[in-house]
Amino acid sequence: MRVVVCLKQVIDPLTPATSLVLDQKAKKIRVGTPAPPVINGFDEQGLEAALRLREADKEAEIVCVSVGEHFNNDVMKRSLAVGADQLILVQDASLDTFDPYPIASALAAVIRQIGGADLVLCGRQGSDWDNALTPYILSDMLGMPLLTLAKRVGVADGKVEIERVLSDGTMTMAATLPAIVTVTSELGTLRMPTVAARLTAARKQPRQIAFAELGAAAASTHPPQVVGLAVPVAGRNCTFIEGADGAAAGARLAETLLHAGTIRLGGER
Amino acid sequence: MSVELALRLLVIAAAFAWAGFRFARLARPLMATASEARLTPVAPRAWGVVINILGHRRLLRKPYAGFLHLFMFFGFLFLLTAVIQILGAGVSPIFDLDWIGGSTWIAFGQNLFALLLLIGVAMAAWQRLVLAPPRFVGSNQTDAAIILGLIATIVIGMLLQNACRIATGGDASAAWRPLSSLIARGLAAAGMSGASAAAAATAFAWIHMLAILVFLVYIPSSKHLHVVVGIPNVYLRDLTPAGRLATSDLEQPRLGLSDIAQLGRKQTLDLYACTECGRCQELCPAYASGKPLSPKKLIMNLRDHLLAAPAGGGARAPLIGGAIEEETVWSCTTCRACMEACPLFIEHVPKIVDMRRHLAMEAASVPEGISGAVLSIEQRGHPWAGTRFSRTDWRHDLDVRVLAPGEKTDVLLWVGCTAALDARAQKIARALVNLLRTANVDFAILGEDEKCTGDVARRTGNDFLFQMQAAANVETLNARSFARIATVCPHCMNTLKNEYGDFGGAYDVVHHSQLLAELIEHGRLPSVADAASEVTFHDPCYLGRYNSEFDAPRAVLEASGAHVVEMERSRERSFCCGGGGGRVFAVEPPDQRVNARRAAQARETGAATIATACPFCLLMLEDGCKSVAGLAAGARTQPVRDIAEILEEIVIRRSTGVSA
Repeated sequence: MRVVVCLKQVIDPLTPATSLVLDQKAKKIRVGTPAPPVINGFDEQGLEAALRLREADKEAEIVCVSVGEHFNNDVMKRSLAVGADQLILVQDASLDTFDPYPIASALAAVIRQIGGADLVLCGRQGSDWDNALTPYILSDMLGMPLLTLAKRVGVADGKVEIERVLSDGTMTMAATLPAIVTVTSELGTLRMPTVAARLTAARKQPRQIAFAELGAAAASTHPPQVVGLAVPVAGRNCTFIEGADGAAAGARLAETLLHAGTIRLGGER
Repeated sequence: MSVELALRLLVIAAAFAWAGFRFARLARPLMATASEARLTPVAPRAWGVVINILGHRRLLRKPYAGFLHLFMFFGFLFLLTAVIQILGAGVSPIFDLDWIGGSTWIAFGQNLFALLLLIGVAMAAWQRLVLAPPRFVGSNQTDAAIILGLIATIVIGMLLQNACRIATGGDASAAWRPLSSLIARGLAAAGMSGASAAAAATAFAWIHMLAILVFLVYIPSSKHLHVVVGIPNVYLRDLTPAGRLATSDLEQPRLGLSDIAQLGRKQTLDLYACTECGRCQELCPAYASGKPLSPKKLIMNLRDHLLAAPAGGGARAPLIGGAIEEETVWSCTTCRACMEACPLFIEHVPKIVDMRRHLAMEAASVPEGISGAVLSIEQRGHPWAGTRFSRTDWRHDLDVRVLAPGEKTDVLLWVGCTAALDARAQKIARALVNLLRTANVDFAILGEDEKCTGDVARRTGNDFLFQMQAAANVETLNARSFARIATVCPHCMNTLKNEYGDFGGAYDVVHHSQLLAELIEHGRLPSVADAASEVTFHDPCYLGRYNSEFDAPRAVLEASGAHVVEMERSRERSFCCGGGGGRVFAVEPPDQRVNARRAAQARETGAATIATACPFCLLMLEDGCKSVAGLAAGARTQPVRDIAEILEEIVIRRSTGVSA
């Protein structure tokens, strides 16, 4: 079984706002201080799902694929350190884009070029633009069924079965392979690599595939546009809720939160 | 040859052979280990033996237990003459020590020290049975009882043997044995004399000798093995700075400790040296907070694991997950209270860190909170994932100089991740900057180029990451000129001062408490004479126990007009805040929080303020105070402040003319 995990290199989502530089002309967000990027956290969870699948099926092959404008190899090689068999990188300036279409197109082309996949795992969304569209476009391009928001992924008898996270519980879904699954944070974080695996990974080189070789579509015919960029203003406001006694203050607090929309009455959705 | 002599010879030979076999069984794993090469320097090592073994320095910190041991120790030492006499006489009828005073001053000494020994045994029995301090929980009490019984039998056997011999009327040493003579008079009054006394003397001589031989054979499987390995264990103690952990050789095929055979010789000897006295357990914050770690049980379990013969020659049970649980390994705050307390210099913390090294670097099994912090150090150069600050935001309005490569300053202020990135701890850095300005100190910071020293990574076992951090920081530091480094955090101070030497970084490093105390002493910062308020000071482990600085922070507090009231556990015996060894990032079960216990101890002093000198301690204690105050309805939390913040307030009052 070949499991392809799609990884995206993103700006560290925990970068403090004061370190962000907004390039209003190019409509790009950059980090003002020398801070390395990270692998999108949801994608890392996709890799963790793949590693867990391999614990059950030792024959499974894990291929990580990433497409982007520029890569920090040390960061991307973490995938090899935790146990991926192969890391494929496709680099092209056109791949640093808000538009998910060329990203999905490049990913689909890579997957076709390596001979297809039995299972494609993606994070539920990228932490840079939060579009959550690439897996949908990819499933269409590859003609594979898409199962989303998995907190557990299992493969048996040519089928993938997932536990899908809902706001009030879970839902079990299955599809015949080949299929695409997006995973969500409930699946758990990516495991730590051992030092021996890191040192081995450090000596490996990712496989580079030239973008031109892929024949992927460069852009949508009419891609979405970024109009402007702004750092959200995080405000803090402190209000002292007073009451005759604890119970009265508690009731006032509930009322205040209800008006603010922070809590809802039971049964109301 | 008389039948009795032949029998004695046989018994002695058999006992020695048996004991030899049992000692050899202990020696085998010990000799198979790699030596740590700690035989030199001789003078300080030997002096340590003198003050700690002969002088009982650490033992006497507990006067009752210390004195009872002192009595037994010197009694045992002197009664070795009796052992020589009885075993000598056992193999040769003409053997005696009379030519060096065997029946004069040695005889007297034996009587005197026998009495001391008996007093010691009685005190020990009282301690075990009546006082029963909790430090003995988990120790082998049967073993202790057997040992006390054997010692008493040896001593009483000797006294009665001598008394019976005196009662026969033919003992020249009678005048030198007042205690035995007293007993002899009692025996004579009871009608014992002549042949019956001689027969009884022989019987007691046998009891005396047999008890000695049983003791000899028994020792290898007893905590009393420390009579043999105690001295070498103290001699071979670690003389490197307390705060320096050995650097892992990452080229080795095995990283950390996962197999007991990987322990070095002194580390193995530690396991034999443990007397199960529990002084470590008594002071351990992890144990006190109900976690599965007791330093004493850890050493005992390692020892039992070492000596557990593999069934059928197969492999031993796993060390971690078998003899020692992972959770136990992670419970340690590396506060060093155990190592400071151990009378025999057993090294608990290096073993724990070594097991963590296996877990972190080979097994990649690290608890959730800690792994997140370590990953953040790797990805962002600091453990505070999710902070909303950049490393220089704290000084946005302070205009602090950032030292560029090639530039020079007198004091390089090493801010540290916590003081730079945590909203509360930033106030320490800001206070310190104001104080340094007041004192006209030429200082600068590294700004964005400063990275985590790696303390958290190293003490949670990830020496790989620690070494990367150290190499990067040494490169940054060596590209700049400064007279010395002053740190906000004791952990940074410890690592920069004691651990960067292996990476080409040799610096003069002080903690901010030391710098402030110095500036006060030189009159560059003001000092207030009258004590206005009561403050209790929490000693950070990495400032106090690890780097022996207890006075500077107290001097700063006193200069700030504070009257320092001590907690029951302070200075060398200070109780950790719970944040050391990476535990500040660990997820503590609500009922096992070390910081809540320390906050309660601070509260007991009744002091208006809790002062400390470490950002980790500050955050841990503030948090602990909230939960303690929450328990006492309506109670207000004591403010927790860094000494720099307290001093800064005085300086501001001075400069604005407001009287205290």
